[in-house]
Amino acid sequence: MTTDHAILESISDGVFTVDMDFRITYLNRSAKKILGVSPEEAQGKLCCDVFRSSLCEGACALRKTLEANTPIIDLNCFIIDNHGQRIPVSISTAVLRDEAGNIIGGAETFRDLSDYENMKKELYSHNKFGNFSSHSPSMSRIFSSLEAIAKSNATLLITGETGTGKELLARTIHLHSNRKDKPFIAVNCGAFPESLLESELFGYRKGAFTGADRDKPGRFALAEGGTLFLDEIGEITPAMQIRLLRVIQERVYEPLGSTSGVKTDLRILAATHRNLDEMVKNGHFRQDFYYRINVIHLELPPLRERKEDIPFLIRQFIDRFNLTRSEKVSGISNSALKRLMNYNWPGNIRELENIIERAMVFCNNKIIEVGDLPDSMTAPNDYATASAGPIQKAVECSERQAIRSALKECNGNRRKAAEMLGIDHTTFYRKIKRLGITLEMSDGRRKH
Amino acid sequence: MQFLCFLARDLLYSLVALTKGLNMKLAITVISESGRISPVFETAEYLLTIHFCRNGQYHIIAENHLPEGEAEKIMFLRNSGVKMLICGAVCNETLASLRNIGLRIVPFVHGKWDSVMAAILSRGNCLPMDYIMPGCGKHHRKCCQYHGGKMK
Repeated sequence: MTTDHAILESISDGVFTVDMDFRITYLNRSAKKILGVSPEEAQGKLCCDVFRSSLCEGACALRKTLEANTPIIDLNCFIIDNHGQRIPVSISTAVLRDEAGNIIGGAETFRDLSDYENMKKELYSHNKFGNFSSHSPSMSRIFSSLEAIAKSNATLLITGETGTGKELLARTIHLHSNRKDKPFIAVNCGAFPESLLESELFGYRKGAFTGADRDKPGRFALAEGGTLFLDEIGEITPAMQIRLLRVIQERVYEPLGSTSGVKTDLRILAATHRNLDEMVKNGHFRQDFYYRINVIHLELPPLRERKEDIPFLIRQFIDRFNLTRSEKVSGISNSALKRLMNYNWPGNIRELENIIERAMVFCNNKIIEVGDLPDSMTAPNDYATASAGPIQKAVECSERQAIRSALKECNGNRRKAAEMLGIDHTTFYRKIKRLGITLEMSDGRRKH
Repeated sequence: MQFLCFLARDLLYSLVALTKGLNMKLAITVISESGRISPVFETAEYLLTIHFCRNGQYHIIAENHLPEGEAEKIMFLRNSGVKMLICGAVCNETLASLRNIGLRIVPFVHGKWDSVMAAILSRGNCLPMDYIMPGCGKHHRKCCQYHGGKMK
C-alpha cells in the first residue's frame, strides 16, 4: 500500500475518483461504509449509480469541476444509501491530472453530516422537539406536552395565525409518533371547492362520474397507516364537516361511486387560522365536528409574541439557504437584526423566511445588511406599535406630539427638549426610536 | 434488510405481471438527454409513461417533466394512472408513500431504460443483477433465491 493510498484509507471522509467517463476508479473504506457499496462493486460503474446524490441528475459537482477546471468546496446535498436512508453530506471536488498535466479524471470527497445536523439542532434549541424548537417562554407549555401528544393516537387541532408553523408542528408530531415510518399527507382544505375536496379526500371509483375512467385513490388512502393533516379545516362547508365527522367516528370512508366502505387506520391532525369557537357560536361551524377534532388543542403564538426566537430562526434560514449557494452568507449585521426585531410580523415565520431568502439573493457580502432588506423595512416606522389597542395608540400619539413640540421649542436641541419633558436623554432617544420620530439634521447646537 | 426484502417481493410481482403480458401502464424516471434511469427518484426530472400490451410489445405514451417536490411527484404519479414505477434510488419514506398510492415499485435500478425493458422481457421473470445499483445486488439475490438467472 502506498503512502497516499494509506492516507486515503485512514480518513473518515468518503473519497472516490472517476475517469473522464465518470466511471469509478477508486473508492476508499469510508465511502464504502457511508454508501454501503464495496470498492469491488463500485469499480467501473457510473459514479451517479454508486453515489446516488441529489445533485447527480441536474447539478453534478464533478461534471462542473471537469468542465470548468475549478474545484468545488463544501457543497451540501443528500445521498441515498443502499438501505434507503437519506444522508446529508457535504462534498468537495478536485481535478486529477497525470504527470504531463493532462486532466485524467476527478476526485470527490464527501462528509456524512448526520451527526453535525443533530448537534446543530441541540445547540440552537432550548425547547426542542425534532425540527420544532423555540427559546420563548410562550412556547414552553406546548413543548411540555408534545411527547405525549406525539405518542397518542388522538385527533389534534392546531390553531394559530398564518405562517406560525402549524404544518411543521404537525409533521414533527408525526415523525415522533408510532406512525413515523408511514406517510404524512397534507391537504389544504381551503384550496379545493367542495365538489373537488370530496374526491380529493376519499378518491373515486371508475365510472363514478363523467371523466372518471379509472379508480383514483384519495388522500385518505395515501395516508393509510400514517397521518393525514387537514390544513385550513375552518374553510370546509357544513356538508363536508358532516362527512368527515362520520369518517372520524366510524373509521370508514366511501370513495365516490363506491358501494362499499373502506376501513381506515390513520391519525388526523387538523389546523386553522380561524377562531373555531367563534364560528361555532355564530353557527358557521358544526359544534359536533368541532368537539370531534378538538380532542387535543395546541395554539401556536404569533412571532411577535416570541421575538426571542427571531435570531435563531434567522440562523436556521441562513443555514438552509446556504445549502444551495456556493458562496455562503455567514450572518446578519446588528443593525439589520434590530430592524427585524422591531418589525411586527403579520406574516409570522413564513414572512421572516421569505425576507431572509430575499435578503440572501441581494446580499453581496457575507453579512446581510439593512440595505438587503425590503424597502419597507429600511426606514424605522411604527411597526412596533402597529398592534397597539386604542388606549395605547392615544398615549403614543400624545407622546409623539409632546416630543415634537419640545423639539420645536428648543430649536431641535435634543438635550434641552429632554429636560423640558422631564426625562433623561437616554429615555428621550428610546422614545424617539420606539415612536418612529424622524429627527432634523440640525441638532440645535450649531448655526447653519 | 427487511426493506430490501419488500423491494424484492415487489420486483417479483411486478416482473411477473409484465412478462405475463398484462395490459398495463408503467412509468420510468429518466434523464432525458441520455435515456438512463434517473439515479435518485426524489430529484428526477422526467417521467416516461409506457403502455404494455398483452402481446409483450410496449410503446411510449408520454414523456413528462416531473414537478419539483417529492410530494408533488407522488401526486403526479397518482394522477397519471400508472400501475408500476421503475426508478433509481429512493428513500424509505418516499417508498412507503408510493406504495400507498397503489404503485408496484422497482427501485434501485440503473442503466438505459430501453435496455432494462429488453433485459426484463428477454430473461423472463427476472431482472439481471447488472441492472441493480451497486450495493443492492446481494440483497436481491438472497431474497429472491436467485439461482442461475431464474427466480424461484
